[in-house]
Amino acid sequence: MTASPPRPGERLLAGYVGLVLLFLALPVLIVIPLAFSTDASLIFPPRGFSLKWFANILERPEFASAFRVSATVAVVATSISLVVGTLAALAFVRYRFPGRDTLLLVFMTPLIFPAIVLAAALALVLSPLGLLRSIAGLVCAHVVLTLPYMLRTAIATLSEIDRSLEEAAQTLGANRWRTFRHVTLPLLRPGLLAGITFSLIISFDEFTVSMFLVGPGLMTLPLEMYNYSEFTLDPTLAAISTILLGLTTIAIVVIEKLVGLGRQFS
Amino acid sequence: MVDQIRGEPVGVELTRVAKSYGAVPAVRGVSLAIEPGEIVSLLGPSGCGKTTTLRIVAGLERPDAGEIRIGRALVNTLPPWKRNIGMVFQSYALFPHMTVAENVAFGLRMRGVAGATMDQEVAAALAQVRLGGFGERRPSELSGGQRQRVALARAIVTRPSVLLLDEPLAALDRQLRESMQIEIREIQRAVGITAIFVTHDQEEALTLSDRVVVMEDGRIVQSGTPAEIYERPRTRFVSDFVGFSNVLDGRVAEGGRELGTVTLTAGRLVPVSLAPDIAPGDEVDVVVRPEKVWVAAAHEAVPTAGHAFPGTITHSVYMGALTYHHVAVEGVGRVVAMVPNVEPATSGTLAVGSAVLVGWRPESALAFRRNDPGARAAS
Ligand SMILES: Nc1ncnc2c1ncn2[C@@H]1O[C@H](COP(=O)(O)OP(=O)(O)OP(=O)(O)O)[C@@H](O)[C@H]1O
Ligand SMILES: [Mg+2]
Repeated sequence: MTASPPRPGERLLAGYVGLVLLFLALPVLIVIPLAFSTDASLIFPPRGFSLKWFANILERPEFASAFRVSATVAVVATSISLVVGTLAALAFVRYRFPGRDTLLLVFMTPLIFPAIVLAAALALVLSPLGLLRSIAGLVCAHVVLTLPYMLRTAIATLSEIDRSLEEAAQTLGANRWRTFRHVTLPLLRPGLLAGITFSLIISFDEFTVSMFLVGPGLMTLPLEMYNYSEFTLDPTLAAISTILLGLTTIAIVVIEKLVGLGRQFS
Repeated sequence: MVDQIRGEPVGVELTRVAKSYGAVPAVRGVSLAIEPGEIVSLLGPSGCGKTTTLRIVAGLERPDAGEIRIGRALVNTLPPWKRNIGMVFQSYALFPHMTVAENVAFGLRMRGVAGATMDQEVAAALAQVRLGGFGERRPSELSGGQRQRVALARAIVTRPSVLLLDEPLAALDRQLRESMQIEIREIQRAVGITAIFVTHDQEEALTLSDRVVVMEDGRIVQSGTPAEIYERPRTRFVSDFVGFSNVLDGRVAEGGRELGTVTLTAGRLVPVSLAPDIAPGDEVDVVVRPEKVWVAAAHEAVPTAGHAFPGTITHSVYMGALTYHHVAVEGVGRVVAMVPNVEPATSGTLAVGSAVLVGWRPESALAFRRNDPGARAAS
């Protein structure tokens, strides 16, 4: 029994990685060469090699600031989603309580709702709270958006964990917390990593909802790029995309490595 | 915490314990006292409440009613991690993200044992189950029998007060199961631990236990030594559950004492041993185990005084160490007799078609009332 079937977290991640790669592959072939082009107009194939578009990013502080906003929002929203999603998954999988199915559906609605409806709704809720045009407001919105992904992967992984493993830990002297810490959590890890990846990318990439919540002085990177493209359509955007592509690839490779290590556990 | 001197076994006592899952009663009023150091098996068909009883002792399930004591302490509300028990699950429940050594060390770590002491105890426990040198493997790299032994090592390394085993051998093949039975027994003796063993395999229960507790429908129907359970089953259900028997139907002719006679439906009057509440005139099933039936060639001397019925061997099943002879007996019916092959079975004194005499000692034929509610599980 050396080759046991992959756990759902891993399967999800593998499938996800495959999809992401496919999705990325085509535009990548065009975007990366363009980023190093000498021409200001988007000509393919490029006629020379230069790094001036990367230099241009550095010359424009609004990109760096937007990147910081997006990264902060992605990391904070993902952290909150991770904690809330894991705890909620534990409740959904381990307990049967009245209203369970309804509540689960409520958690999942952002997946089905049209983004624009959600955007308007969030703006209407956050505005009276004074959270419009604030990082906190963006974080709130992104938690709502990323939670379903986190919850879904956590529930899938958790329901595959044999209950008797936790019971065995308890008979061996582990109280609830230590059982979670030493048995449940390590087994949940691949699923949570998949959820984290989903969540970070969903948040970083988010456009529609963020558009309602940003304003002068507070821009996310996708919106900043969009603003820029309204006035100038040069390879600067390709350069930014190339950087993001690099970061995403590194993140996925690192997580693959971590989960790859986890694979020999099963 | 259950108070316990390390290595000193303690008793377990259940008093009128009951547990339902919703509307489904799983355990209905089980009372059972287990002596310190005793190994008791819970035997019964699927769904009779064995696992539930074990889980109640472990604290994994809270009973609706009744009391559970481990040692002298009432543990009803004590969570599993404070009960100082060791449990071997049917699925073994080895932690897949830990090595064998880490699995075994888990209980020690939870008790604050660490470093060299921990390593020593882990090594000793693994040696005890003959898995020295397997410490660095993952559970996924072990065979079923090896996993089972890791589970056992993990459960005993903490020197628990009580060891609970839920059909730990069910997944193993026969040979491995038999050697593991001996191993479990030896380890249980060596460690001097009180053990409760769940099984639905009667042979396993008989070989492994000081005492067998037979359960049916969430209740204990009989509890006794393996010999008592096998030789003196109290109900038809117990009799059927712990081994194959000949079943002959008839009506009590003479009774009131422990021994009596039954007129079989087929005609003959046979000597039997009667359950206390059976009176003349009662419809009964007479149950005789094959090894209690003797067979002799018709011209030979009858082995014991008493009844001997003439019959003909209709067919024989040769099993190596013994042979089952199916004998058509006039006025009785078909009787299966088990004969050890003391002489080579090829010598042919008991060939198919030969005329024979069969018989049994009156105390070997047990009469149970026909409509005994326990009789419905007839084999
Ligand atoms: N978690 C549960 N929820 C609902 N019903 C249950 C649950 N666990 C057990 N039962 C029911 O309780 C009864 C006793 O179950 P239990 O597992 O104790 O039987 P068992 O004797 O161990 O059987 P087996 O030999 O099949 O393991 C059965 O009718 C079973 O269907
Ligand atoms: Mg069971």
